[in-house]
Amino acid sequence: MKQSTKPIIVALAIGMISLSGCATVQYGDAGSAKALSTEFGSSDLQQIGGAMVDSLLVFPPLVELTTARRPILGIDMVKNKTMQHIDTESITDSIRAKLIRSGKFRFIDRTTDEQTLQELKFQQEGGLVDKKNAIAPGQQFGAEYLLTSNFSEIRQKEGSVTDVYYKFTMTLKNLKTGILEWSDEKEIRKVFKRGTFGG
Amino acid sequence: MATFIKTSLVSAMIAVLLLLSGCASTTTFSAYPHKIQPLITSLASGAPLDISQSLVSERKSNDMILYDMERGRYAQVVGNGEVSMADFTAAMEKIAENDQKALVSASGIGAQIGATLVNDNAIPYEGEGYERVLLHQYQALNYLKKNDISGAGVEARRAGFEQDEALKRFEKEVDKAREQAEQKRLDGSLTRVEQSYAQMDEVAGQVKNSFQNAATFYLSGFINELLQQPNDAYIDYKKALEIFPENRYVQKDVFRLASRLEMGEDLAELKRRFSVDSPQFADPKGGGELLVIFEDGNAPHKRETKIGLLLGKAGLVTVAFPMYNEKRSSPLALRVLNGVDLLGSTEIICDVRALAVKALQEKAPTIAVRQVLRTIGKVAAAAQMKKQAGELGQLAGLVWNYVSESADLRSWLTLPADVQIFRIKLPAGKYQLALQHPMAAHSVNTEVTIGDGGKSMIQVVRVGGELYRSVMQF
Repeated sequence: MKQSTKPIIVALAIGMISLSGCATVQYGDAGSAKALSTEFGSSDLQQIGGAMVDSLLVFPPLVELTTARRPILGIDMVKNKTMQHIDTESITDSIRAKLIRSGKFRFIDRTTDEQTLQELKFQQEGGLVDKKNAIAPGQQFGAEYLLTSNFSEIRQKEGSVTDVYYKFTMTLKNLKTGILEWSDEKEIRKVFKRGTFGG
Repeated sequence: MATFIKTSLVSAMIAVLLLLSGCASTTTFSAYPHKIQPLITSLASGAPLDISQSLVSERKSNDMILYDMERGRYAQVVGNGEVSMADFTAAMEKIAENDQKALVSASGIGAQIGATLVNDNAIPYEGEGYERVLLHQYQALNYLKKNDISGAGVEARRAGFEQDEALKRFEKEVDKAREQAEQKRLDGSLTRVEQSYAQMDEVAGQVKNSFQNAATFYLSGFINELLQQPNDAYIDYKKALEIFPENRYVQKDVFRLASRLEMGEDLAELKRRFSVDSPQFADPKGGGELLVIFEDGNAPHKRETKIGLLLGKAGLVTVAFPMYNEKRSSPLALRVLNGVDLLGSTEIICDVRALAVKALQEKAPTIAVRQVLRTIGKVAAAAQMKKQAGELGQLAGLVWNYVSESADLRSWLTLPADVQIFRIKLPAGKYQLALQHPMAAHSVNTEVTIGDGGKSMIQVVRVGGELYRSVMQF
């Protein structure tokens, strides 16, 4: 009888070991949503987009500039310099949407230029549109400012700890003068610790 | 009592049979290279395989990383980018999952116990460092073929991260080489030129060459140029040069970017080291560039070497070790012709064989320790069986030892033996190129367009007498 209890004890021990250690991921900067892995997730995206736009909107010289009129901005696609396949188009879109919603800026969209040209050509040459109402090319506004962003990542692995540092930098350039009117960066740090025991 | 022992023996044998049949899709009892041979034969003969039917159960086994890499590579060579990308992604996801798994996991313990009882093939394949680097490099190529340069950049950075990890693992060896060079410098046995730090880097480079992949750095440099990041490209090309200083195309690119980025000191150092006149390296205006990446031959196969050891009372026991014992031939260049005019030939930038050998060397001590533990375990089991079932029992134990003892011959086998490059600046226009190689059955013609200010690239792979190519234009 005594012998038969041994396997149970061993099984219990293994069970306890496998329960006790789990891998953990923590934000270096606490107080944010729970992180699941060191990957860049949707909540990070929201956080970064929001923080950037807020920073831009409260920058005093820009507040002054936007009280009198709504400057025209062009936005460049966010440059992905990380080690993850991130949909940077989506980040770009949400930043632009937030800025437009603030009501302080107007935007130039260069992604639909081809369709615009086609449509104007049709209006001018297609013979269907009244010449008086047809829009002539060469009247569009040019952007006064260009918004560019870089998204980079530094990853370090030391033993069982992986430390990932994401940095998002955004810059607003005055296209006429070449002066950088505003710039800011937002960092997210995630630390992943590989568990000692687990399944 | 005798009946009891007989019953136990029979049940043990049944257990072994069950174990054998359950391992059909693993390599525990059948050598890995046989499983991949159909892919290699198909590539070497140019007779396509139905890829959806190949390695189906294997890709669900414990070694899924390895089979996904093999099939992904096969698909890439034959031009099936979608399958290749999906397979590589699956392999990467599994690797990431393993990397996040607890250090001591229940499944890991199971595999280790299996390995101790049977052989090393019972341990799930996790991918060697150099294989992980190449995995990202090939995925970068898949992105380039889709014209997704940003995606290629992500893979290039991942490859770079793996290379940094390799450097960390071998840092001591690099330091030692540097120290030795430094000692020689102090002895005065080096010439003045050799005393420079660049030379020291070269010494380190010769060591790095066995665990870092210059071809990957070079491709990463090319991708960074496509991304308009010349600074990053310059760093990548410099790393490639450190590992393969004799490659003239890499010299040229480092020189070109050093001039463009106005790296005064570097430029002076480069001129001194490579004794080249700057006009030769001047970046001609107009036209575009052509890069040919040539992957030649097959990666080496590990062979099993069985060694008989006399262990005390147990008598003769067999241990199996994996080894590389292929003779290494010097690489043969691919000739690139424009019609009948020779444009140039490729030069070696990575020796995959060296990377494979180094990876095995790195693991050798662990393999040896497991081997000894296993042998002791098996001998003890045989002795126990002798005690319980007499000579027949011991014989059964020793037979089990011989049968189960097979070396771990797993490694990514659809990789090339070496990688070579050729790069040239050409006036814009369409070209009918001929690619010739001494081992190829016939030369291959391919049309490539060089855009003004653009970059075009051809990936050429030779397996057996077959040359495969795929053209990209950026």
